[in-house]
Amino acid sequence: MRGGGARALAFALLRGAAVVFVVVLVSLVLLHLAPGDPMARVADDASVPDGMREQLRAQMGTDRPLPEQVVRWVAYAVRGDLGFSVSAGLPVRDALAHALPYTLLLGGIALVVGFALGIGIALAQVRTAGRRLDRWLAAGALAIWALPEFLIALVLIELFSLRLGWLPTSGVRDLMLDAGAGAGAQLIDRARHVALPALTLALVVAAQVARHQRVALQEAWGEPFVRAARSRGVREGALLLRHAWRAALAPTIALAGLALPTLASGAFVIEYVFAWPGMGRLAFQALADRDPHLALGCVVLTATLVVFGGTFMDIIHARVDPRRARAA
Amino acid sequence: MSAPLRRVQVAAVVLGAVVLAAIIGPWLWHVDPNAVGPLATAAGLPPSAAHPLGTDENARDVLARLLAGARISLAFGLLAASVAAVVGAAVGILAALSRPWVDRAYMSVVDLGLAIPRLLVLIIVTAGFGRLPWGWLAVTMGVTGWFGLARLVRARTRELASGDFSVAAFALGAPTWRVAARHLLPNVTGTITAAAVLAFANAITLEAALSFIGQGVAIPTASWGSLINEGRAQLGVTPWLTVLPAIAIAITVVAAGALADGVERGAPWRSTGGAA
Amino acid sequence: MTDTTALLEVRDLAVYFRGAAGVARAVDGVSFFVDKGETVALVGESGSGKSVTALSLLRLIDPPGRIEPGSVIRFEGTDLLALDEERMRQLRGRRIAMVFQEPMTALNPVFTVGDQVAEVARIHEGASRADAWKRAVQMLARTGIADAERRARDYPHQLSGGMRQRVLLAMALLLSPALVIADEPTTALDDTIQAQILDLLRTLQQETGSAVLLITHDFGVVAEMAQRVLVMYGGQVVEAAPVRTLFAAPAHPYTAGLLRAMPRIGSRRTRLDAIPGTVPPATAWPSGCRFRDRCAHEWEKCASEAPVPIEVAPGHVARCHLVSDPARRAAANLAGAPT
Repeated sequence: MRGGGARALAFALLRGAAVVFVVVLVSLVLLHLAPGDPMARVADDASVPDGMREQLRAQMGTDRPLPEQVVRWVAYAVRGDLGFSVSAGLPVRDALAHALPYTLLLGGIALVVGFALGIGIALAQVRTAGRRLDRWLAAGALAIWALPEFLIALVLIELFSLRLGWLPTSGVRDLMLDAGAGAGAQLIDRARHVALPALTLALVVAAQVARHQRVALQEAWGEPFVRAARSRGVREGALLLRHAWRAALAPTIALAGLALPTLASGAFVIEYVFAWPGMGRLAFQALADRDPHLALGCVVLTATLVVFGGTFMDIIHARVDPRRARAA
Repeated sequence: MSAPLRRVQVAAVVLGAVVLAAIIGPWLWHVDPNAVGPLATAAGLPPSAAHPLGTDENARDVLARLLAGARISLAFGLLAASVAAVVGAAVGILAALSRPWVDRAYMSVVDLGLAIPRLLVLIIVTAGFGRLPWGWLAVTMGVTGWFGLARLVRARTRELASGDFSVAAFALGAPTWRVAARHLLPNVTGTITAAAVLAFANAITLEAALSFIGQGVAIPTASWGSLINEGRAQLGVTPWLTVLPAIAIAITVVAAGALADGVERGAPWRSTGGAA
Repeated sequence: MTDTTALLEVRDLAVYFRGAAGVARAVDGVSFFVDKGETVALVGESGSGKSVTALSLLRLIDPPGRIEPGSVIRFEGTDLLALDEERMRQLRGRRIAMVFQEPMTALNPVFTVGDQVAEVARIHEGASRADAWKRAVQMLARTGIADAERRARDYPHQLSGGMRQRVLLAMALLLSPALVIADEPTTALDDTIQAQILDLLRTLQQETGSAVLLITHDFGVVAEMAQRVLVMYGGQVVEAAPVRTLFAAPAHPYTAGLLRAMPRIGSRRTRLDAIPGTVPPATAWPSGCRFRDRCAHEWEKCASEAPVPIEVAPGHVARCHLVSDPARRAAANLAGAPT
């Protein structure tokens, strides 16, 4: 990371920006090709404030040649103007600003819990390799990997909300909860609402991580340096948790970074199931209401998050793996 | 080698059975999956002789809908996987045999494709064109799902292209396309098949998610995803409406995953290195 | 040289690997001893069982391999095979240390070398982090690593092969173990570095008073380092003698063949093509003498009867029927080998 690190980082960020630009480009091309200019149609909607119509037409109108349209859209976007959402009755920027924290909260919890859980599962599997627990955990990870996210969500809702009644089925807060209730009660209420969607997404992450981590751990476990460390009197527990695990962590992070796009899709679906007011829900609402500005805004923001999330994972990877640090 | 081989065989048999059920099932169980029965007496019935898997809340036969759904879901997966396999294999082989800078260009496109969630492309397409017929939806899935496959095929092709028999063929003056068609393609079939089977499984899962969200196949057409969506509201009362299609998806995806895994590790294919 | 004074005594050591291909008797009835402070070389081709012997001394044989009942490994008066796993672990790295052949793979790529040396002090002496680090740096400096303070913060891939081997030596000798097992410590290095590392091993050995069991296939290394030599073939010790005796008067045709294959002074490369054929797999040793297929002096007795170790002279033992047949032995002229 020293010296060349800043340049590597600049390069990574530049590449990320390029990817996001391509997403914008492809999206605008697709919308341009669509019949009836869905982008310009928005300006005719009754919900658009009068003062905005002309600007929207100028900014988003696809009557102009495509390159000009792209330049215009980007020029406005970098100033934070992403058009107007007719379904929300708000500028797209404001709708996204409302949704983004919810998605980040959900994704953040799920990533942290999912990684911890996945690594824990893999460690347990390696410790009990070939025995019953190992086989059960492998089967569980396979099942979660194989099932669509929404099914896992349904199973969890059925179990924890409908059967056990422990947690709410959807939403972010209890509407019946008195607004005057204490901050503690409010917090607990929020936590209860985030628990199930976060758990669902965490399980999806954990299944991914566990699969990679187990392979990497087993590979590391067979490395000569593990035997060498054992020959120096390192305890079996430290052998696994310190020597093998640290060596196996880097490839797992790299692979999990590559899985981010899939996870983003999963998060979208999970938000829908739990009526979680994040980006995914907003995107599907945009589809249901034929709201192209909002859809485009969701797509570009999500792509940005995923791409720079990947860059971030890459940086962590280089931190964790000294061999990579030299190359970077 | 024998235990993995057996797993591949089991997976192949299970997958074959699912496909067979989808093909001949509706023909044997001759009930219209969309025919609505008398709501007062025949809605939400548990399994019986007349309806082996019961009826849904619109008094339609669940077995018939499940079989019809299998046709749609499997056809969807097959179409998406075929598109992904053809595009991915072509790009992968071409990239592997091209000059380094062309190869790099191809691979940048692949990296780009892998970095973008597929769902986003679908959202934009739907936002512009409205809801797609399921065939076009499947093609879109294929067009957005070939990137990983291309990367695998490229890696395998490069491995093979540096192998003896390819070098020999090049040395004898065979044109590139000929070497690709005669010597490389037959040997990357295993890799392509494995990746295509995985793409098939992925497409089925994605279709289910889309139908569940209401952006997949249009009602009343049955697919496994739409069945789950329909049954969801009554999960507590008539759980089989949701559980059966869920199990169908799980079995298909797990079998496909196991099959792809086995094929990739080379149980049936890899061993014959130079047979062309 | 009696059992009570020997640092390490190995008797009837047998290590079998049970697999689909049958039972591989990788080590089969090995007996030898190592005295305090001395250097004993263990010589043989790959597949002779020398590395498995070394690993079994630390009880590091992985399944399906197993040290068979009846084997005895006595170290500093205790029976290692009777120790529980925890007591055995406390011995590893503290009283018996091992230096591996490939320093790159024996070091963990994701920890600094200083951390890995310090770990030994922390495990066995409960040293504090700072204290262990200080000792690690000192030890690295003793192995001749310049600017040890800075080098200790490097990762293995940032060091040269010779430096990595110095790190392994630092780890092995940090706690002044009574016995250091060095498994082909210089094979992966080029010739000039090889000499430096051997010098270093000898210097450190003198400082710590450790005994060294040096595993090698290189008689040049043997001549330079060892006082006594054990020659292994087919999972057995076929000859054991003081270095000088062995070079001057080998009693086993295999030893004689190895010596003949040794190039003249100046080069260290050993060529084994003076002995025809290759080592058979450990699942299928020939009947009788295990070397007879490749031996120029084989006769009927070699197939019908397995030779037992016979004393040629005090301190010189060979497992060959020639020893008890003076006429044939004279005809074989084994000592005609160069020194």
